[in-house]
Amino acid sequence: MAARPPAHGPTHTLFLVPSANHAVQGERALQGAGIACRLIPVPRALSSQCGVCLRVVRQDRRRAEAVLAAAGTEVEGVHDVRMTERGQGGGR
Amino acid sequence: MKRPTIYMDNAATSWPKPPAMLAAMRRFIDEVGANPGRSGHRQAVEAARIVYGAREAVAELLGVSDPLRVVFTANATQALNLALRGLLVPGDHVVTTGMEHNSVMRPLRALEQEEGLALTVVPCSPDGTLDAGDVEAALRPQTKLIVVNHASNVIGTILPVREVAGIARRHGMLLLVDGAQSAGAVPFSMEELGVDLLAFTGHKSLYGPTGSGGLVIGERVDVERFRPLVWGGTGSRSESETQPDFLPDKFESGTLNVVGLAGLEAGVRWVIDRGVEELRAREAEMTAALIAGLREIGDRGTEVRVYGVTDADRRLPTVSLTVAGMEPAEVSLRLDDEYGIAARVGLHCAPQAHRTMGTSPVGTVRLSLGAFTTQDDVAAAVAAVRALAREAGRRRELERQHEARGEHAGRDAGEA
Repeated sequence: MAARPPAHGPTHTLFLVPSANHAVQGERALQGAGIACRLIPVPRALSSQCGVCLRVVRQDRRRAEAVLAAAGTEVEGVHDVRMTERGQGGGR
Repeated sequence: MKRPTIYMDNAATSWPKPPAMLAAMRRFIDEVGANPGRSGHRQAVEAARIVYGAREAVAELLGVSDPLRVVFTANATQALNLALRGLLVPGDHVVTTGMEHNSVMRPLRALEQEEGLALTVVPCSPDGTLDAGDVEAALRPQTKLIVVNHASNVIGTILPVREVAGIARRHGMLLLVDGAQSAGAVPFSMEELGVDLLAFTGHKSLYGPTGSGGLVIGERVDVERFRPLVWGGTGSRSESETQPDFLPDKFESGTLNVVGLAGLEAGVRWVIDRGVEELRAREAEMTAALIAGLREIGDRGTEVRVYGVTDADRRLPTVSLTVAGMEPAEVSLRLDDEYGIAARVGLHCAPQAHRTMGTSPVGTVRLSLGAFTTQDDVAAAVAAVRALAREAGRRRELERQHEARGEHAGRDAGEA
């Protein structure tokens, strides 16, 4: 589980992927590397597509980027965001 | 429905299925139920995981490094149509073999008649074997694709896919393999064999349910110039009115058969756990016993003909036979009614293969074994065929006597 979220600034990083297929592929790679992640609907402000994206806590961004690259998961966008406690959750 | 005593129609669809298959399908219906990739809630995400799990399992079994290259379709026929319709354009030349199923021949004949495709069918031997050199000799500058049945659904003969793949690579063309019978039944890696496109079905030797299957698209295939069979919603790129250009979404419009794919994953995992080599070794042993048993029938004027190669390494547990003096339809009906043996009769949707074998248009009786067939089943099948063959032998003898009497009577009448 992630540490306490920072008081200011982004809490999470979202990885936008082409489809739910890619999202699950990325999820498996991150979980395999011990990085907690969750698939959530893509926020409207980031994309008008209706799919899901991968969310990790902000502290895991660099590691997650490396894991996804190594797994060959196509990433179309990386966004640091601030999300509320309610939406938070490292795992499923 | 009452369970037949002995199910020998596994080449049509395997039965029974591993209990885990139904358990996975039930779990999806009872606990998940949602549409994969369309929504972001937990149930939808779980459905997407199930679909991906099925891709992963198929990729692992068939030797495919990227699970996203596994495109799901309703069956092998749809996968073959996708490849043929999606890749070929008027003026292209295609080489295929004399052992193909109608799932290959009909779309090719339609393209030949309607779209100006040029087609060469390379003959095979009556036992279903193919000389890869004949394929090479049939190539032309316009040849774009070679289509080969990996293993015959009629007589089980395994075709030399590795050699044909080498030819396709050397000449810079693609190889499409119909793996309906071979996937899960023969140990192979698609990438190691050098196959560019592999059509598979889920409900035969992958021990999944009907309605599952797919096309694996290799790295040499130009996805950009590969047209889908169906256009529509994919859950991805929803802002765009044009089809996504990436795998697998480009070819998977419309909600997938998720319940079927849940079952497919369980079936494939069962095959992986049991081991394709182990399953095949067990089936080969029974096939050898079946062929030997059938070949031994031949006493007292009976005659049973067994088709295909004898060597278990070169064939699947699919055995075609004919009984002299008894039509295949009668043999099959009586196997079912009197012996509780489920067999398939006729041309097996493969008139091309039956012409090659010399069994067209009457066809054969096909006994196809599977993972749940036992040695007792094989012994019972041999005994049943022997009994029918003896009856046919007696019948033929009576006919001969009748004809002899008839001729005698005819002569008498003529003399009168």
